[in-house]
Formats: sequence, structure tokens, C-alpha cells
Amino acid sequence: MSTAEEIEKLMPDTSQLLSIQPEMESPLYYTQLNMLVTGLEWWWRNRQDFFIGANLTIYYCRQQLEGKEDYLGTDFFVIEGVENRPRNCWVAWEEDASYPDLVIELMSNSTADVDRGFKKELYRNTFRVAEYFWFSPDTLEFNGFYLSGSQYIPREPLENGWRWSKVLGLYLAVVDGKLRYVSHDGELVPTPEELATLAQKKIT
Amino acid sequence: MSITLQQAKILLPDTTKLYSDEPEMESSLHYTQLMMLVATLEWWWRDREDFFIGANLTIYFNHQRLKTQDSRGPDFFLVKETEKRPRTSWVVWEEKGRYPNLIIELLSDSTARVDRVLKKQLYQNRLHTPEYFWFSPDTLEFKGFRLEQKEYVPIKPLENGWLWSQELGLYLAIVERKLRYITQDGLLVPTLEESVLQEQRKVEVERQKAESERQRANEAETRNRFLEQRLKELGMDPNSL
Repeated sequence: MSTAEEIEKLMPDTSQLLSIQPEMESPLYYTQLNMLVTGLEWWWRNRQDFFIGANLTIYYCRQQLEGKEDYLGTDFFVIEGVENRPRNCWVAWEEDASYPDLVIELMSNSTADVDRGFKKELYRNTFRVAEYFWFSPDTLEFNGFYLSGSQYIPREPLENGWRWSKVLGLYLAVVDGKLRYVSHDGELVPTPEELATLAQKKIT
Repeated sequence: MSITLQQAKILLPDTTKLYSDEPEMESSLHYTQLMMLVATLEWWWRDREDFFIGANLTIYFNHQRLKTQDSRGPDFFLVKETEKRPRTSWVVWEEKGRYPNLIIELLSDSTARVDRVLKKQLYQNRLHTPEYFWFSPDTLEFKGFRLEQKEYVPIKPLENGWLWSQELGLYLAIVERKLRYITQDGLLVPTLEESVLQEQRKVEVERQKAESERQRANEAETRNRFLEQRLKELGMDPNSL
């Protein structure tokens, strides 16, 4: 038995743990992830109260430190209401126990079963992620769920295939083989590269 | 400086036996209500081994601020799909990262504002608790919320005021000024005391039934003996009839 005060003094600083998520499988995946990250960072450029995790491990229990958990990391996640600063990984018990509000897994042959099964269950029942999407840059399979109580309900797409994200306040849509953000009014949210190209064209 | 899993594993102290750190309940009214909620559900789910009920127990979720984390434990919380065993507190990182499925706060004058505003935000935004109810044993104020995506939406009461809990698979309802569980079919889930009384009544009925059976058997036996005796007296062998 121990009091909170005694234990608190013994607690190590685990905020500097390293991510154990393996590298992305191919440039296709890396490019897609990059688009999602930079696109949202641009869209929310005036906000300071969120964190985007890209290919990062979320630490949530002791079993992970002992290598006993199957979970390694999450491709893309967004947490609102937290300080926007760089992190090596997300350690829930160092961050007032916040879990992601939104997750997107970039699915491949080797991760499809895990993304549809184990991870969906982890995100639903442990992290209670409000919105979970997966997208395969290979097959373009795209699906989404939102939390109702402790259940995941499929997020039905519009006729054009777009799926609304309440967390982002944006649609997610497959455009030219890529998963993209589309505004409420139906405007494609540009990536910083597209903006730069556009700006260059104007100059020349 | 970064640290490895190996180092973290060695450094992280055992926090499975952390003491709870909660103030006493406000009144015997609150205490009785809490115990009723706990005991009734424990009894109702007596064949299940996959849940934990915390009563006035601390939930530890912040490593560095064990002592000063900004929230007290809920009055009543339920975690499903976990191991059923006694605990001195709920330490999230020792419990596979799990948080409660359902929380009930018993409002009092001193906690009402915190329960309605701060705790609601905490349960909605941080703990992502699927269902949150509050009930005042004094004023009988009673409300319930279900997490829809990332926001609490009030649970619409039935005309009689009952609120459905998806997590419990039961209604919560005020019956004789107490918060009680009611089955989907509208039957009051008995408290432990009521169950005991019901069982005792059943046992008594069984006992009386057995007693009258025995009496009837005795009477039949006596009558058989008498008839046998009469036959013998008349010179007849009862076994040859």
C-alpha cells in the first residue's frame, strides 16, 4: 500500500519515451500521411490547442513497457484541447490522460486485419476515439466510424463518397487517389505545396 | 533526453496498490444511496466476472500529479470488460489504459456546481465516458448524458422519468426518493435486502409446502397400516391381494 504522495516522488519522467512505431511502408504512404498532416496544420494555422500525431506510438499502459501489448502506433491522430508542441510520442499518463479525438489509419495488406479488428476495438473501447477512419492508398478502400456511447456507428458517405468529420469540421474525400480534406462548402483544402505552386504561378 | 522502454519499465514504480484519496460522503443519505447502487448491481450481475464497480474511489490518470490532479474520484463508476477483483484505487496505466463506461455522481450542495460543469467537461473531453448521470438524494434532481461523437447529449427520459442506460442495459429511475435500477421489461431490480427477503419468503413457502407433503404422506402411511391390520384381522393376506 502506498499513498499518492509517496509514489508521486518516485514517478519517472516518461514524457521523453521514444516511439516504437515502425517506419511507413512506401513513399505512397509517406506522401499521403504528409498531405494529411500539412493540410490540417495549414487549415488550423491560427489554432494552438491541438496536437497532430503522425506515425507515433501512444503509450497508455504498463504492459507496453514490458513489450506485452500488440499495439505499436497510430498512423495519424488528432487531439484537441492540448498544448501544440513537438513530441516524440504520446504518453497518455503524462498528458492528463488525453486520448485522440480522431484517428486515420493508412491501411496496407499487412495492416488491414489489425486496422479493421484489434485497432478498431482499442480505439472504441479503450481510447474511445470519437471518429475512426481508415484509407488504403493502394486499393482506395475508405471507411469511417463515429462513437455513440461505447459503440462505433458506420459514418455513411455522401453520394459522392465524401465522409463528414465532426472533429475536423471537414469532409474526408478520395480525390485523385488521395485522401483529402474538403471544406463544408465543398472546396478542396489545399496542401501547402499546392499553395506554393499557386503563388509561384501568380508571380511568373 | 529521451528514455527507452527498458529504462521506463525499470523506473516506473508499482502503482497497483495506490490508496484512494477521497473525502467522506456528505451525508448518510448519500452513503445509503451509494451503497444501494453498488450492492444491487453486484447482486444483479453476481454471475459475471468481467466488471468492476468503484464507489467513492480515486481514478489516477496523471503520472506526475498523483496528489494534485484536478479531479476527485466519481461517487460511482462502472468499468466493463475488466477483471473483477478488489482494488484500492483505479490506476489507468495499470488497467490497460481503461476508463469507466459509466459514472454516477450524487449531487450535494457542496458538489453540485462542480458535478454539473467541471466534472461533466472532464468526463466528456478527457475520460470520454460513454454515459454520465447525476442524482441528488436531497432535491431528486436527476439527469443523464450519452457521449455522441465527442459531446454529451442529454438522454431523453420516458414519460415516467426513467432514463435508459445502454451501458447497464437497465433503466435508472427514482422510486420512493431513491435512484433504482429497472429492467428493460419494467421490473424493479431488487436491492440486496429485498432479494434476501424475497428469498426468505420463497424458502418459507417451500418449507410449508414440504411440511404439508410430509403430513399427507404420514396420513397415507397411517391409513395403509390400518387397512393392512384390518385385512389381517379378517383373515386375509394383504400381500396376496
